[in-house]
Amino acid sequence: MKAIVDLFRAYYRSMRGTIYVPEVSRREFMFRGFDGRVRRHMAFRELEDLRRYLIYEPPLDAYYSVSLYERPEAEMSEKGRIRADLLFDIDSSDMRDEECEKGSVWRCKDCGKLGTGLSPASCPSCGSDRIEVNHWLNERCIEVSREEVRKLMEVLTGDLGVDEDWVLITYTGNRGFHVRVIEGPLTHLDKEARREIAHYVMARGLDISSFISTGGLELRSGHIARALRLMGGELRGHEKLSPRERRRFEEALRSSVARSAVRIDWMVTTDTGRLTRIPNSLHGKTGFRALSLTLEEYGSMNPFNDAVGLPAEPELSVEVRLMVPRFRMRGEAFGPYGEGEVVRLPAYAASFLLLRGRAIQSH
Amino acid sequence: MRERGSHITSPTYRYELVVAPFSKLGASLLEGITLEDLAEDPGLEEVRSLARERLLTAVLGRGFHAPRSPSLEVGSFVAAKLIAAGAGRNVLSRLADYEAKRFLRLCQRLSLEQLKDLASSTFGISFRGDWIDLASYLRGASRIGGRRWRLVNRVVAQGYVLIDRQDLERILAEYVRESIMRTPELELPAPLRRIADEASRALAGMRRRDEVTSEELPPCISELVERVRAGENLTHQARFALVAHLLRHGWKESQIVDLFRALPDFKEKVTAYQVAHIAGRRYKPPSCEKMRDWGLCNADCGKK
Repeated sequence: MKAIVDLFRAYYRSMRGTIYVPEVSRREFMFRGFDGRVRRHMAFRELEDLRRYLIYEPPLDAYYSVSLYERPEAEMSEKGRIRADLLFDIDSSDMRDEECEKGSVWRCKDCGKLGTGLSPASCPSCGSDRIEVNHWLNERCIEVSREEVRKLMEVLTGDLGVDEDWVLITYTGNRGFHVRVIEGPLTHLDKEARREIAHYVMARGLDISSFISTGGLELRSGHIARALRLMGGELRGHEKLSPRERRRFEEALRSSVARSAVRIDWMVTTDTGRLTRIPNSLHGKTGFRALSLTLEEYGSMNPFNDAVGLPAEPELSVEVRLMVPRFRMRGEAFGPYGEGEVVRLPAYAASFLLLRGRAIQSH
Repeated sequence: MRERGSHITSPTYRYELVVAPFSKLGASLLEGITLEDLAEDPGLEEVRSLARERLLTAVLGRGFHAPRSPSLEVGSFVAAKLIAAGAGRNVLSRLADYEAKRFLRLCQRLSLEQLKDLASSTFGISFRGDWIDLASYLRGASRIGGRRWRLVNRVVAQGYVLIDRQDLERILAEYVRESIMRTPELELPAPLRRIADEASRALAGMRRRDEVTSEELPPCISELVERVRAGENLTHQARFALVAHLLRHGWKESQIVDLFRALPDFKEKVTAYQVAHIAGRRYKPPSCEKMRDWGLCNADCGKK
């Protein structure tokens, strides 16, 4: 791992200017080191101090608090929360998309059975539900998460009154995106109110019939309105429907709402004690940059080209321990590799396999 | 009170202050009055007396006190909440419930414009016609149980939520409750301490201590038990979940009713009926997923 630590350090040295945390002095920081050690309750007076720290002791993963505190370095109960970013976590791992999971490998912890693709709920061989997954990631994972970001932005700006300038979008560095609302009234909400927002965004608990009976179909915003648009325009005269027609209409509306709903991890949104990855820091499972993105950029970014954080040099030899599907990075194609294969790769590709737990370094 | 000689200057009669003694305007009437004044000033005897009446009526759960002059209402409201805060969370919670419900009843006589003015000036809520700003809506509504209050079932546009007059009344009542619950606990001078002790005794007389422990309950249910014991007002769903779980864990109906005695709006008959109903129908305790949906899941406990 020594080689990778050096590559991370070189990254933080040359890219120090891109490391950015809004209102840095009010945040709590947490770092996971290459030795697995976790440091919490750290604080930095200025951005420069943080940047220096990352070079001095490059971490595998670097996080900061969504909350702003009076005393960020104090114990949890003493910190004094001022307000907190409203964070949405969009992760393709939650979406169970077949193509995105194509290269994933699962293993039953009880009987050791291995399989690829979408992991089953229970082991087909022994029935155990203790299944661990080594996720892969590919362009499809980014594609499905990107679509959720697009829908989320529509809800935030259209329904919830969030100004585009208050939003910070970042690629997580792995299989999804983070969307943070960092200014405005929603940053003052408590846990319960954040839960309401999260459920709203997901259309969770939406009572479709109440909207129909209150004439809500005249709506211009909201899930119902978007669902109607998805169904092909406005529908009127619903009050004259027979019970059977109405049921059918509700059914159609329901499945359309499901397409308008945003798939987020709502527990993350409600948790004001959450720590989240520092924009433009490196992800410890990919070596990719947690790129901060503009509204235009998130729509087209491809992490395999745009977020590769490590250089090509030096080439490193790795021994594959878990099958590696074919993948492309910086325009160059690699793999597929089978177990036991020893390959010499550019540093970024070798690190990618090492950090994902698919290979070990070979000398 | 200060129709003669106290520190409170009598305003021109304003019914709004009787309905909403918590308002910003009300607070301005009390400027310059100290806790010691409230405790000792002979000119404020009536204030103390009405504060005591508020508290005892709240604790005993018997209707509402008869409305008095605006200045007396405002003074006694503030005195009552300071005393209640000194008496502890349970008494404070009773008072908060009392004042919220009293407001809900009396506010019918205010015009919609008056209600909105009150909301803006006292609680900083903003409106666009029939729409209330999202953050203010959530501050009130996230504590109210029931599907219709969930944001997902509301018409929301551009950061505003469509509401009607009744919604606004109910939301404001929640603000009243919440603002009273945030009353700081101060060291009470002797005359006020005596009223606080009286209110605590009255409350203790209302409830017999429940002897059941909350061991072996899942974390979400233990938390609800603790919240009930602390006198916190729970949503309908939380109450249902709690009762269904406790029955499943072998609690007797009478033990459950006793537990609920700590709640600010406790009514023995109603509670006994509800508990018996849930027991009689053998309702299943809500699943983990339901509990999460209702916002009652507090840990990843692994139980189902």
